[in-house]
Amino acid sequence: MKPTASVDSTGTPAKAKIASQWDDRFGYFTTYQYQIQDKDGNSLQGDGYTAKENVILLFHSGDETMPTPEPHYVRAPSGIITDVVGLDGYNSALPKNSIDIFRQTIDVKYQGHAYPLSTTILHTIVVKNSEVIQKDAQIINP
Amino acid sequence: MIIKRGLKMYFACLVTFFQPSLLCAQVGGAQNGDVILVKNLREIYPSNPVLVESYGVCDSQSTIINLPSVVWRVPSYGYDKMSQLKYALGENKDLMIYKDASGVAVIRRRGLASKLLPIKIDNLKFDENQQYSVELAMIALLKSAPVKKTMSDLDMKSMPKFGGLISGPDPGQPHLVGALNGQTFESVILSIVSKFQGIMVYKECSLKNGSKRFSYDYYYPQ
Repeated sequence: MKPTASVDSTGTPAKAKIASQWDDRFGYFTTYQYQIQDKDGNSLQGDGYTAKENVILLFHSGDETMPTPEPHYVRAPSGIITDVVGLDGYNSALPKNSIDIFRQTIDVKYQGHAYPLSTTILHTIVVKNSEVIQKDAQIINP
Repeated sequence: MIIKRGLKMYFACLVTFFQPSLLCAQVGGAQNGDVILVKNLREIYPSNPVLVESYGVCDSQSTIINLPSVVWRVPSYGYDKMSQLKYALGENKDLMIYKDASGVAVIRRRGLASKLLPIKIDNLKFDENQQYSVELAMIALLKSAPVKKTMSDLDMKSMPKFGGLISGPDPGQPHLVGALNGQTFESVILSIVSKFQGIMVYKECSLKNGSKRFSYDYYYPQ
């Protein structure tokens, strides 16, 4: 499903909304696309955006801990940020049972300026009997 | 430049490591065992693609594979970056360091007897998202039939890790071709690292029951 951004704007990045999502057919992760918006909710669809996530682990339950990627800026063409929510991999040695909840915020860089978005997203990743049964993102603060 | 940027701290980091040293600045969020390695490579061999291949020790408390100790020397000036890298790691006789034909610096631990890296993979296809993303390209590699078979035959699994932001398709930016033919697992990784630059750390370990684990972690260029 393609994002349905509506308005092209020259405003500055202020927040993001979930534009689309789809499941990895092997069940490890859900790919989310967030549309960058200005403070009025207009979609920013130009080129030259990059984004970096800030992730804080709020809750962990399980025998093993798993690493998170190093924060880095990635390209967000047309103002679309792509996020792999869940486990990055395939045919992995999954833990038997685990619950991890992360709080995610995003910084967007555009024309040399960094803009921390107001949007806060909660990621919940649940592994049960070595299957990823939940891998979703939920906006808790626009 | 390295010395000017803090000789004291750098020496502290460059002596040896097995676990992350509290004396070294953290590369936030990265796998703990790789932090100093990646930090030092970025200092010594900046803006150049690197593939590290090593065995390690499986960690029972996490899905991290701990690297063996590495001794670092502060490189001297006046040489090209590759020579500096070789000098910096020159104390480690078990490390092979060379530049691959694709331009990637390969740091390989001699004791790594990988059966996964040399397997042949024909006609590996990437969709548009995979062409622009290291993470998704690696998953495409793992899903290829020869890799799945080898992993099954060897009772081998990859170490799980959490996802994160990835680059979206962006025409005009570096990206992989739609299909790679006549490759090996290793040469596919080299193609990915060569295309996107950055540092890839590939590790294998064995569990007590004989099962094998491997991990691959990509660190974006800075």
